[in-house]
Amino acid sequence: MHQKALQGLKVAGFVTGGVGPIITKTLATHGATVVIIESGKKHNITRSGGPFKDNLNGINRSYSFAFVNTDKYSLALDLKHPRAKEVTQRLVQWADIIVENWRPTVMERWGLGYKDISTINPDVIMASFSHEGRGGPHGEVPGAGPALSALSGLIELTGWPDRPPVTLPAFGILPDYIAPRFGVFAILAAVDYRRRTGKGQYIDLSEYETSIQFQIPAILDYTVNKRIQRRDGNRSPYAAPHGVYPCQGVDKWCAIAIFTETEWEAFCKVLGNPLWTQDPKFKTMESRKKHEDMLNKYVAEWTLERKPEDIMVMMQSAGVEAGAVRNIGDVVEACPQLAHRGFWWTLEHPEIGKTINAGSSYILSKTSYHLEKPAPCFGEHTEYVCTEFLGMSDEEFIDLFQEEVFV
Amino acid sequence: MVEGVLSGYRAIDLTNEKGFLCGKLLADFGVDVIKIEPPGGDPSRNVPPYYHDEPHPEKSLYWISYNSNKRGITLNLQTEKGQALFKRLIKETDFLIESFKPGYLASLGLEYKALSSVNPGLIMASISPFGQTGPYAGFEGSDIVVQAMGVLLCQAGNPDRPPVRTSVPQAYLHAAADAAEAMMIALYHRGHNNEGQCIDVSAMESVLWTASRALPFWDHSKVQSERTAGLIAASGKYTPGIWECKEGYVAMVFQASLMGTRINQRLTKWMEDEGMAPLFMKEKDWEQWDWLQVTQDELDQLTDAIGRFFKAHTADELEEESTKRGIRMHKVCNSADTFANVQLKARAFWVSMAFDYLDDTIIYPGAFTKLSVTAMKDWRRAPLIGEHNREVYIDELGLSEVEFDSLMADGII
Repeated sequence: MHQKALQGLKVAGFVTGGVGPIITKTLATHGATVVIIESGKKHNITRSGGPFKDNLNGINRSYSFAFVNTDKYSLALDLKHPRAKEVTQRLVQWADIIVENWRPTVMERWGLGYKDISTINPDVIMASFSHEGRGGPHGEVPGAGPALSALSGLIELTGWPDRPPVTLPAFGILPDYIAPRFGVFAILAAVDYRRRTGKGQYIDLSEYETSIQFQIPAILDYTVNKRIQRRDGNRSPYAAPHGVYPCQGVDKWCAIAIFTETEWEAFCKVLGNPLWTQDPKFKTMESRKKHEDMLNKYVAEWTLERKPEDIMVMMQSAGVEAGAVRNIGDVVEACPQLAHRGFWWTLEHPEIGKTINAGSSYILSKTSYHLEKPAPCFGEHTEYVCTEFLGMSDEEFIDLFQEEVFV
Repeated sequence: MVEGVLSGYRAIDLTNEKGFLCGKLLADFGVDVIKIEPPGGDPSRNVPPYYHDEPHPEKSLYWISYNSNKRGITLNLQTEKGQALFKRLIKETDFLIESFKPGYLASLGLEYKALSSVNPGLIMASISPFGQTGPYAGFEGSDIVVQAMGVLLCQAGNPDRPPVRTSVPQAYLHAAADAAEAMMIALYHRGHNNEGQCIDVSAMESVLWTASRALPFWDHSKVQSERTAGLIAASGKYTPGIWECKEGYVAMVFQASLMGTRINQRLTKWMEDEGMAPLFMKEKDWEQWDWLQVTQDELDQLTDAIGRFFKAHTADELEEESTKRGIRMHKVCNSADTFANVQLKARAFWVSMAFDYLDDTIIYPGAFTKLSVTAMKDWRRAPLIGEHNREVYIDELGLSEVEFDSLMADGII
């Protein structure tokens, strides 16, 4: 078995909601030792999101929590307890990295702001993730995923030009899946910097600012050309046909994208060169763009009589870009490519039972990842973390336990 | 000048729009990223929009967006001399990023194995639509195709129309950011074990990871994702995520239980202050409001009352007042709103980038994160075609003027 890449890296995660758990999941998947700190006293958002095993709400029954917390250790800790400091002090000394995504000021209130933390462990790397970043007039405004999606500009760019914008994919919280990539990148870059210089540092990441990185061309179109880009359905300014076409069956669709004349010729050939394809209106990209409505109607007539997966294979075999629109069940049950790459992992969770888990979107040749442990039950590793990782004696642990610090 | 967090490393970027962002992240952090283009320039320089709408390979705002802070050289990798020169460059390189069709570099004798024999510490990331091997490895996949197959597409749209994408291509930004993340993971390993490795990124899997919040629902009860126009679905109930205003739209989601209590109280108070809160909202005990118990009928009543309230205001008015009242809501912003945003200004997000050859300065989105010790380095515009050829080949690689001129004449550089 290969060694995982991040073996030996120690992470303490004061995480909640989406971004924090996702970042620490990536680190854990690739071998870091990740301890999440949670309290049963404070409402635990991540554990209270459904769906639940047998539809019964319970702290260890959330599928969503189980999915995003594989390979982590759970330490139960009441951060408002006067003696919690005895634990956090050791945690901060132990950790290479502190990740947190509470609302700005919350960590400070717990005595765990960067100032406090870097006093305990000057070499530590601390990463704070918030919706709009630290400081500024909105630094402390509470955020919510779907609202951030609106602020980011991505909602305005999604949907049909003649209709109101639509909810973004990822259940409306797309930015929660953008920020973690930048976050892991920044954290590990800082880890490498520390390896070379011995210096730790503080990372202040605004989800808003990372979401803007996903639309720079539209932003520059405004700052340079004063043009405000709007949603344009599935069209592309430099491709036609370019869209999602109806297929045989209920709610079945196939995406097709033609960027070059060579692709257009190959596409026509797959269709059997019907008469309409020879219409001069469709001869060049420019004229296809001009007559796109009519073009799309013809394409849809052809796709409607076929199944999306069949169209995909016919087109791809001829060098034409096409892809069946798939839903989550389709890819879990029957995607040969994902099966080939070993993307799905089944783990046995003590309360939920068998769970399906997603792996990593990349494979490293020498340090391939493998998911090992299901998400922890609440506080499952409290004693283990305190005594094995933090070097607490049994007496100390029992003392704090009896004082109800670990709740 | 403060050094970048990754200053001292060098990267070679062979990507097109399927990988630009990866090299940009490295460059933004101080890596010396050299973008290699074929002589005459990358085809992706012809992607619109253009500076002042003038189609020109050095005026593509798409290119300019994702190649800032990189240097640019030209090299013909299809020639033997070009390949030899490439290997000389690789010797001094930490990171290599490529997004060719799987197998293309191997056909030139430039696969990871060959390159790592020149430089065992090399970290190489390959970004492809579906991965380097497997039944779909030969498939083509642009943004919409990858989003379709990676489940993201089916999660947005109106029920009476096809699934719909974001009009600014997204799939390969997810993939390229994943590649950058993976390169840092490999760098950690190299730092401790002195060995490089290669990374195989599948854009479909990057997109699928983004769509993966659907997985627990499938696992739990075989629930597929659906397109709900502007609604948000939670536990089989629907509430608006996007609301129409007197002018524009706002996004806000009801939340029940502890998460939503304060917000719902504040919103009710606000409506009450303006005489628009119905009795049932005023009398509601929000602390006891339980999402699992609430009926769709009640949600529809609420939607109706709040919808009327929002329609009586413009999105700008709602944005301003909701911020004051601590309600989690935002206007559906466009790029003009983004540019005017006070928070971004306060954080000094925007940078002025000098474009000498256009005799202009472009306002450009700045750092994606703030680091306390290693600030982002000075911002530099994207390179012109072959702009740094002499600097890289003569000054750094040590080619003589004669060699350089002959390679230029032969179309190698």
